[in-house]
Amino acid sequence: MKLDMKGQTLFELERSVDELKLEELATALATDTAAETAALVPFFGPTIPGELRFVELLDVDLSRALLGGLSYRWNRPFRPGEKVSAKVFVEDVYEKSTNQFAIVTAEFRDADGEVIQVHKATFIERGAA
Amino acid sequence: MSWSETTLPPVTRVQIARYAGAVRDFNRIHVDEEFAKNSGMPSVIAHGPLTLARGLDAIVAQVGAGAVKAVEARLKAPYLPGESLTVVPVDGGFELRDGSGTVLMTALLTLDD
Repeated sequence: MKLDMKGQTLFELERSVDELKLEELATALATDTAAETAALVPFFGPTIPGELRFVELLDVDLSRALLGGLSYRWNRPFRPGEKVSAKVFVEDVYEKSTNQFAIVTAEFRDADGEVIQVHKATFIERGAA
Repeated sequence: MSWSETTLPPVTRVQIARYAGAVRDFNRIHVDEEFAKNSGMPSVIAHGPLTLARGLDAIVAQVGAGAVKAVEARLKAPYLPGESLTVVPVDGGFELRDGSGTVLMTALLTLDD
C-alpha cells in the first residue's frame, strides 16, 4: 500500500445510477425490498471504475487486504437514472504495528451539486508473514 | 422508530457473484476459491458491502429506505457462503451474526426521528 497517498484524489467520475445495475444489485439481495435498498447502496466508491484501477492506484496487495470498516451517510436514496458525480479520495493512510491502513472516502453529488451520500471504507493490509 | 431481529437465508455464491458484477468488485477473494484459501480464508467470502447491504435491507423492510440516515460498521469476521445472517438490534445500532452466532459486523445506526 502506498503510504504517501493521504489527501490524494483517486478519481472523479460522472456516472448515472444505471437501472440495470440497480436490478443486478437487487437480484443479489433477493428480497421483496431489495430494489429500495439497492437505491441506498448502488456504488462501492473504491471500485466505481473497477477494482483493478483502485488496486493499482493505492498499490494494494489483495492477498493481504481486508475491509475493516464501512460507513454511509445519506441525505436521500439515489434515484434510478439520475446523473451523479463521484469524488473518491484517500482521507488517511497510515501504518500501525505491521499493518497498513487506508481510509477511502467517496462523495456523491447530484446534478445540482447537492450531496446524496458520503461513504468511507477502511482497508487493512496485513503485514507480510 | 423501532425494528426487530430478522434472520435472512444463507448467502449463496451466486449472490456474491451477482454483487461483484453490480459494483464492479471482482477482488478474487470473493470469486476465486483457490485465491481465497491461499489468502487464509476457508472459502470465498461475501463482500463487506454486500453483507452490510443485506443487514440494511432487513431494516429497510421495516422502516423504509428514506428513514435510514447513517450507518457506521466495523467488520469483525468473514461472511461465508452457506451461512445465514441474523440482524440483531443492539443499543445504538445492530450486529450481524452468522448461523453459528459469530458476530460478523457491529454497526451504529442513525434513523430518522
